[in-house]
Amino acid sequence: MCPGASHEDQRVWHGCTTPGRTEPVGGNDEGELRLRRVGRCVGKNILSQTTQLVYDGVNQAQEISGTTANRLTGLGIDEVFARTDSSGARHFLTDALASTLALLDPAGAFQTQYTYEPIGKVTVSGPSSGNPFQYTSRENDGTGLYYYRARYYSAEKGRFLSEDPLRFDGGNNFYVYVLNDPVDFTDPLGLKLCRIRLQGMGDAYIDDSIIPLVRNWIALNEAVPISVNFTEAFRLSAYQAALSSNPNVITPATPGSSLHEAGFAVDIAWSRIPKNLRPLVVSNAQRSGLNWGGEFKKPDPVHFYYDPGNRKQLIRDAQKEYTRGAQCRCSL
Amino acid sequence: MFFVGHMLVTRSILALVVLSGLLAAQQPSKITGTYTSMYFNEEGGDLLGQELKIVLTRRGYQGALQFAEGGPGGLIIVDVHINGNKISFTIPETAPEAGRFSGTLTNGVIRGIFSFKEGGEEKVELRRGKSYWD
Repeated sequence: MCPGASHEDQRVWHGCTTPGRTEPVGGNDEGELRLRRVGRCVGKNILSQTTQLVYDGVNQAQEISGTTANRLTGLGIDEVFARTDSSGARHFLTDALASTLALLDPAGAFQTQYTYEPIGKVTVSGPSSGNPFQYTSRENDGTGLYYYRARYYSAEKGRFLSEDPLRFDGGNNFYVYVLNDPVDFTDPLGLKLCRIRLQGMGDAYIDDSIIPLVRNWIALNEAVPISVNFTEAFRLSAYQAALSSNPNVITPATPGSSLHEAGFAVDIAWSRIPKNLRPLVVSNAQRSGLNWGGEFKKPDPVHFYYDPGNRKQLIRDAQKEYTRGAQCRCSL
Repeated sequence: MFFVGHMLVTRSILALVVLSGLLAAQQPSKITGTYTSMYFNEEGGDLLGQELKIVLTRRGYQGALQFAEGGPGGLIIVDVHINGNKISFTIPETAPEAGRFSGTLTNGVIRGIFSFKEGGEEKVELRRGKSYWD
């Protein structure tokens, strides 16, 4: 789903008490969906069971619902090593799509086991578990629906629950999951590469999960006012490789490692911003949830990004999406 | 009297030698060529810096200027003015980087400041050498 179309539809859902800008995920009034706060759910109310959720970046780290369950997560998106609840610690055995195949106890013995149909319909065997992280390590809410952050996904139907608000601009199928290719793709954010108009560039592509961050950053800059011109956004890996073709570089950067190739970075015309306003541009970006390349070991002050982890996979997905012409048009 | 006249001639010769030396030092030995600060930032995956190729044309010195702020910008043709070791040029309004450059060219290094119409300034040091793209 590309953000931007459902913002008028804001309301407060049950179970989410954290203040801040919130917006609903999904789109029906059944009270079983969630709020997200700048892209992150802060609580859920499912079948009258309220659960508060604590996040570490985009990964859920703790569930609090009467009892507490803790997750040991990795740096990558949906990378989880262990979950500990009142039953004790359980270690995750996952496949190439990060789907949970089995939970192991501390002795290494198989406990709960999961098998999946290609589109994610799960069959559970062994001892019961409260673990919601199943297909592609996304949360099965126990209603047959998986929470893919921006949208809910039905593994029964192999479709997202809510339609793409961009309608035909996002393709002919408003509900399609990973281009109907669930064996090759995952979609941990429920999101897409989006075509947008950026000042200074015209049409450009970025992942739509950073669109709210960029939008907020631009709004903060315009309030000063500071006019920021963009110079780069998503890049094809071939273009990325050509950029690093300097023969004097002993170890040229390997394509497939830049967040630009995943659509998670933008560059700006830094030199054209008056020097006294540059710190403000940076602090506005950081307030919006973007990181700044000026803090790299070798500073890259034009570079603003969000790193969700799992970079290689996101690059592969974005490159495939672009090549297949699967981008949707979004607005800032 | 003879002694005073001799001193005067010696001082004049000395002054001429010093003056000619200073003038020689101010005149860049070679103006045409490629001057660059362009480099690849591996962590961000970005190309950064500027590059100017100065050539001689019938209308004087002209330069092909390229900015890189993330990726390489389009080439901008500028009329380069050289006065002693001073170098300046105006970046036309048609370019996103419209503005002016003024600096010096000494020992194969252009040092100076880009002043952009939008308000920003950038102090740069472009060294003569191979183009980033060679």
